[in-house]
Amino acid sequence: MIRALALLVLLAGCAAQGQSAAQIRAGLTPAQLARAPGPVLLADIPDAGLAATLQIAGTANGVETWRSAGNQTLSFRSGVLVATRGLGDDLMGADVTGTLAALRGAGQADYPRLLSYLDGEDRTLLRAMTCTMAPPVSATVPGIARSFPTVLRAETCHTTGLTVRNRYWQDQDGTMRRAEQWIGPGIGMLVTERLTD
Amino acid sequence: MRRGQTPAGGNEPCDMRDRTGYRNRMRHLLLALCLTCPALPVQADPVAWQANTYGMPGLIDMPQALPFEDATLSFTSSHFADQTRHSLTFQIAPRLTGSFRYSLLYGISFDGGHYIYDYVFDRSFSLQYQIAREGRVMPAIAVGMNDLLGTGLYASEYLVATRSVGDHVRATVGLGWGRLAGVGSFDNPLGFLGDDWATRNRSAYRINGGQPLLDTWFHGPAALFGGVEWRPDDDWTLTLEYSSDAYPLEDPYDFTRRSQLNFGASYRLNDHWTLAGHYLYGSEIGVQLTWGMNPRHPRRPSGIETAPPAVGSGGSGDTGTVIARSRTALARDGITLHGLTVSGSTARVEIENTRFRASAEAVGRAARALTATLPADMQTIAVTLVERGIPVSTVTVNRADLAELEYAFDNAWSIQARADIAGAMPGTTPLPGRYPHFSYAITPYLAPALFDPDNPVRADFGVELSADWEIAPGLIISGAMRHALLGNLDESTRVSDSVLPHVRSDAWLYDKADWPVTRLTGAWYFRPSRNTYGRVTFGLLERMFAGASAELLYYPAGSRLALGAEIAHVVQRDHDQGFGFLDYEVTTGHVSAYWDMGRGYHAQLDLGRYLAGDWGGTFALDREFGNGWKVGAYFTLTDVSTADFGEGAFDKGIRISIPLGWSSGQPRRDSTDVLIQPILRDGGARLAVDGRLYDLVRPAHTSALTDGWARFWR
Repeated sequence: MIRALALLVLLAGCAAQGQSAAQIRAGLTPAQLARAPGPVLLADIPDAGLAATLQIAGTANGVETWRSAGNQTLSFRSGVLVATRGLGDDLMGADVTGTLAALRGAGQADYPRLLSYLDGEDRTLLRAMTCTMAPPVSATVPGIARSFPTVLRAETCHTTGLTVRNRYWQDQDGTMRRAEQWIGPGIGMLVTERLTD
Repeated sequence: MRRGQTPAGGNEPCDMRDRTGYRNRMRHLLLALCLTCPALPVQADPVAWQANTYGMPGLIDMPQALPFEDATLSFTSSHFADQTRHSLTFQIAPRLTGSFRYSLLYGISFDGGHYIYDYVFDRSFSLQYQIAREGRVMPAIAVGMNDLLGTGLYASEYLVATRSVGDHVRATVGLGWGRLAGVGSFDNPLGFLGDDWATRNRSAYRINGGQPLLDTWFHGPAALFGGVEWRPDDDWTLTLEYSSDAYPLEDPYDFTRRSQLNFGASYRLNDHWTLAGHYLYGSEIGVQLTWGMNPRHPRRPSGIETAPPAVGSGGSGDTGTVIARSRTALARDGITLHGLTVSGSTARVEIENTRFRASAEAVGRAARALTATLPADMQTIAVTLVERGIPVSTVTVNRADLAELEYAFDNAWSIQARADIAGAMPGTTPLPGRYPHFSYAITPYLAPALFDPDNPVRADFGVELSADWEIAPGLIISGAMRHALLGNLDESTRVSDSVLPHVRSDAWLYDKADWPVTRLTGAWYFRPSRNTYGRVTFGLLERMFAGASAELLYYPAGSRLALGAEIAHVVQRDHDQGFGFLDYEVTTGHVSAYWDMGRGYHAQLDLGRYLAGDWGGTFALDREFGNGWKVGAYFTLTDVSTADFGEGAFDKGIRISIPLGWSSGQPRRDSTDVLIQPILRDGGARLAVDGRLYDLVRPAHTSALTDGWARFWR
């Protein structure tokens, strides 16, 4: 059974189901973004066939939570994913201390990334990965209204039998303009793009 | 379960240091544990590549020594030579496989061809236990029995060994008794156990079946069987076997054996379906289709319910405003606000969870929603789960802990350590307007009757109209009517030959009712004391009986054992299921013990008097999964003789409960129950009263809360 999981666009006039992130993006104009009541995040989970724009729902203890029109949420600590809710195989929590340090250019060469999920029997399932961050390179993120000069860092995380590659594009003040992060084995990669501030 | 709860306004600096220390230790511990955790499933002990024609792990017609993956539930239909076997197989435990089979056999004879039956519909049951897993040198070894309780048509026992030869080949050799000693048999190697082991002295077929015949197991001559499986890739398995089955009831009336060599090819169509073709006994073509799934692996383990409410910083307004806002906030998650009282800095909130299968999720959502609506000086929130007006458990959390842990990595454990999870005190304080409350529903229903001796599948599909009128906490008048829209339950003409009072065997007459009132009762649910629950129900209790029923359950918080007692006096209802009665009444009742054995296994023992006035006991064993799936079996033995009981000898059955949200990931509390009761007879029949306390209380009991606690933050 294929389920269209609330692929809603928040912005007025753009609501559509089943659109890919590229389609949603192509339909957005700078004027529409300017009218949005707050910052807009475009999220794409290609393996799960999910794409939506999200708006900020709140900030607590340094964690920013973004909400889709279908009330699914993504939570980030300085742009690094720490939780999802409503995706079917949610990331229940994450300890990304090592990644945050590496993004600041500090910390260890190898560091852990701890992830927690629900298994199929309502128990916590933990997954630990060992990660390394590659040296930063300059990269431009083409936005809708304008482009952003950023610093791109690629992170490789592995555990037995599995290696994933996360990429982070941060601008000068540290804002995550774009990121590609692995959510988990169930739903794969999350690609986010911060369309407006 | 009161562990390390932080008192509000405690010594903050010390407290903080403590918590940080705890978290760091936890992180290091986790890291140490988890760097060895593989990302992919652990390379476990080998599991069978295919099901045999009996639906058991095996070759083609013969068994082998490996189990299926633990908890696998599969359905196999296998056909050859006018014989079809439908098997439901469950990997009960990692080493124990069980299978229930409904076979349709045409043109067979039990007496050497003097009389040939047009058809026999046969029910049988198999068990296999893996004694030893495959070692470096030693093969895997299993012992198994076919047709344990049935007619004996397939009666056989075996000891079998399977060894891997590389990753793609497996070889199996076995020793069979009974039907598996039909060809090439020799003296029983177990003959040294006694003279009577040399022969198998029962006739092969017992028309009423139903009893284990221990004095035939592993008796009589034995024979060798075996085979080789080759799996060139993950999709194909090719099998060659030597069968020791002589098909004594089928050959030559139904087909002619020319060889004991069988050839098979099976192809895995996808994760669930496997198709196999066989060339059997040198003369027959067979086909087989297997569908398998594992209840442990839902596609959406976290569910697709929307995001939970965020932890808030507190609301304002007068009491009425706070209550109204709280009610609205909870209603978004399908939670009814039953009561809300405030004392000092503690808010006591009673909730009714109508949506979430895991009570911990309902509590977690309610607590977070209330942080936004309750005034900020309400530092402690005590959430009580109420089921049918009775309070069951109370979870007490601090607002500060919720705020601090909302996005912490180890938040599930941390909030469990800091929360107080306890039994609720008796008594509720319902909000004005909560009672009386009237609700009704029109729902579809499906009533299957499986494996009737005359017709394998009977079923009715129709609409049910139900209504509940809750007068006061725990006091409920409810009723239901049904109307079948389509189906064939009413076509049965199987007149009961039971010599017992027809307490169940006239079901076919009840099935003919047009608009049956399936239930019309007044019930009172109450808490007599801190550790006990009570129920009194009177009225039209079920389809076939009306009267009064009273029950008491002792189930302390934190306990994995519960004890219950129930008594009822009932009169049999007329077949039209209106308000008339038949001339039969009985006093029935049981004492019950319920034991949560851990690791998902649950046992229940009931001792008492059944509807036909017979005395005895029922033993049930279920395997339950954290996601709500249950697979189990039960049997009832009473003082009714096997002859008086009739076909089947005693009551037994297999039951499966499937949570309705499992497949879709939607949050639902309801499930669909399938009962496979080979034959419905009158002995060992139990009253089917609604609202039995153990089932009512358990989802909200402290044991369920802790088992499902990982969903608190979902």
